[in-house]
Amino acid sequence: MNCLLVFLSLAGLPFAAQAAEVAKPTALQFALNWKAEPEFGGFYAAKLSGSFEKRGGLNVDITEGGAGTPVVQMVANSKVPFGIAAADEVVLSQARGTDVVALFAVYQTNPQGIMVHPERGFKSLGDVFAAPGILAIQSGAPYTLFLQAKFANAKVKLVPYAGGIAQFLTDANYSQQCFVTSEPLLAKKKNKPSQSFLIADAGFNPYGTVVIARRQYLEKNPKQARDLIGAIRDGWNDYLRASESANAWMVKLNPAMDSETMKESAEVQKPFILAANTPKKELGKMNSERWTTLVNQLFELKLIKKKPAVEKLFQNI
Amino acid sequence: MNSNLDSDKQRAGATIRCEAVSRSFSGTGLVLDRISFQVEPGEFVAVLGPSGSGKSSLLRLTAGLDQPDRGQLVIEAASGAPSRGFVFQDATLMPWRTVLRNTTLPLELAGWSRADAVGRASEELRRVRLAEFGARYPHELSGGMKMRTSVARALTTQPNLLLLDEPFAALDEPTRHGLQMQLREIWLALGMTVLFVTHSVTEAVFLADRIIVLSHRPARLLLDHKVSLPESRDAELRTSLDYVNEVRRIAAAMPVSGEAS
Amino acid sequence: MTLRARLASWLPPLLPLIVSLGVAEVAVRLAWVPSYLVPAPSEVMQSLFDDRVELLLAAWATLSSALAGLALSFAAGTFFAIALSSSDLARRAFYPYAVFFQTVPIISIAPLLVIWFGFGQPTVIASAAIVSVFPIIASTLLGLKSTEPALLDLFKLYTASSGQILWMLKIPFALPQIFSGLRIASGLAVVGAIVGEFIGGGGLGSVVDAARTQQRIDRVFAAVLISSLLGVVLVGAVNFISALSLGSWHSSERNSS
Repeated sequence: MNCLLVFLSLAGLPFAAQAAEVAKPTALQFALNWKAEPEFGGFYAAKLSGSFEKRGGLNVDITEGGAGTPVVQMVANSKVPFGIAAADEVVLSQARGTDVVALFAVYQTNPQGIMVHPERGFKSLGDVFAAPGILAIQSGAPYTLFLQAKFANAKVKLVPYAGGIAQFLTDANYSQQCFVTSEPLLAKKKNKPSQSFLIADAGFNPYGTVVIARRQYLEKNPKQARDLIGAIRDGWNDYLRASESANAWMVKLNPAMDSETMKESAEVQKPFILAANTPKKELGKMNSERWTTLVNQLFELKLIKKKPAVEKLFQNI
Repeated sequence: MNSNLDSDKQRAGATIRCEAVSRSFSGTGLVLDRISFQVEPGEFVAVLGPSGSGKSSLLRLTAGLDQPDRGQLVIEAASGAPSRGFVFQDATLMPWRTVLRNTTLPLELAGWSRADAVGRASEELRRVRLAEFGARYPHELSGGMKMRTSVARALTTQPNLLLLDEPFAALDEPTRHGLQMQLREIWLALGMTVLFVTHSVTEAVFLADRIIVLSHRPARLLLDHKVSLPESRDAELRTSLDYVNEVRRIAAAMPVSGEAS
Repeated sequence: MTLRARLASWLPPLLPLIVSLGVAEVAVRLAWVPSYLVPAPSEVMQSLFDDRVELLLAAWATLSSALAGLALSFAAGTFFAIALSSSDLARRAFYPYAVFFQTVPIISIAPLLVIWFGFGQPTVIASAAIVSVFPIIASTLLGLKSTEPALLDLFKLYTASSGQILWMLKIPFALPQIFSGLRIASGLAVVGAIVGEFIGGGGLGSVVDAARTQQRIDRVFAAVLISSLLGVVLVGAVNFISALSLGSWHSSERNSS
């Protein structure tokens, strides 16, 4: 009897060891390129519901970013394994021989827009550019160059965008770039109504807020990447259903937004995340037509000297 | 070296009446202790004394740069307000101005036109034999030449009273001797009153009609002596018996160095 | 100068430059160092050539703003220093606030400048002026207060008015110090102009801003190179004027070879 017990316990050791291994989660860093906002709500929701642990035993540490956080460089340098970037940053990097890949896109429709005072009476982006006044927009950004090329004889004066809405609140002739899910809501909170025009409607619509990683890292850790993206997909589906718990956490991290505004922002952004009738498991997936269009547009704007192969830019996992 | 432009008025020297003048400074205490003397127009008076004895303070009081705490120091000219010329121990030239423009300074400050000032200053530069150096800058001059410029500057206003504070102390002996003779010639020609501060007994005896000796701080008048030497003094005089005796007499009256009072 | 002597004076500073440029070029080409961290010198040269028109126009904009800012800070700084030098009470009351111009981080008040002066050159000039004013105040004040006492006595002896003392004595005497302050201020004016341009737009600052957005590090380096050249040009101009004014008499000019 004793021998049997010893044998059984010895036989059980490998399983125990494996269980212990699975029990210890892998620590992973996930770098955002801005502060915690509904734009990243799905990631926080995934962490809250334990999706990362459940799917692949991953202990994901989400770190916020700020103006100028060089997430692409951080990922390319292997400082962090996963991060958030704009789709055009992926194209620019690939054109320069830096092998980062997009894995998941939060926004199917890019929420980048131009925010104006309604009293100006603008009916389209063309009106904004044709009228005198000031437009604060990030210099050298692809959408800036796109708009400058599209509205070539602009009367409006383009100035650098330094963040925030302070100038918008005080200057009636001031328009600025915005994320339609963010700045207009902040202005509304300060009792300043605004009107937004989507740059996507003018013809520039890259995927928004994409998850990136180094190809080398993906090739070494394919299961980890699949688990991560799967958990992120779960998190976003959760967040689209109910945003309150993730918002409660994000409010503590980012005092610039209150929970009321976050809830509203989460609602406003829904149509940007889901194309019509998107099944849950397709959330965040990308296609090569969109990426090809982006590559061509960036090439025409002379932001890249040669076009990278579209297959290298993204992977749906 | 007579200048035909000198008028009788300019020939007159100033009178100095120093009556029981005292001066103290915070930190150093009493520097001048009831000094009394009188200087007649046209006299060449040397003020002798050890370092720190207040000779320079006395000169500054005479120049009007400072006021006595007690007593009074009155300077009068035969007619009108007395004008003073001052020669410092360091030539004190403005390095950014030429020799000529340095010499015209007192006249510029008094409001003279450029042309007039240049004319007047050039005369004095001729007197000190620096006429060809008018366009040079101070850094191009030797120590002796800088001092002569300083003297020319002091003479441009044709002063009744010329005040000199150890002007030749920093120069080498041959230059010093040469300048001493030049100074006496100038004095003989122009006739202003001269008050010459020095610590050198031989210099005082060579230059002055009258020597005033001050003690250590707080300085009292130790000696007021008329020098018995001829009016014209040359290099030969320095080795004559009369001169050596005068030097001895004065030297004996000087306070022993290092003796605090 | 003999060829040998010429080489002896030019080679020592040139050699480290050539070596480090060579190492950088090799390192980037062999991918030891990724090009988004440090651009290959040849890429920077290429960028300089390709964008030469844009860089030249931008450099001109920055230079003119820096010059305007420098002129402003020179005028205001000299006036302020003269005012402070004539009154002990005024100096004790106001000098500590002048120090504020030295310590305020321009990058954090630049957004304020935009609110007050609007976008464009006024903000850039204001930024250049604010950053460059303190060295002028400090140096000029020092120069004015260092007047040789014997010369001051000389002027007082001839009953000079304080205006005469200021104009004919104190200011000429202070010139070497004033130029020293101007030298430092001119380099700072370029820095201030570029910082102002980050927020207010225009010039080399916006070239750097856009290049950063586009991850064109080679363009950033090219713009940075041009802006250092601007600083060199300005300081050189100050040195030239200094040599003209001081050359005949000040030891600092006479002894420099």
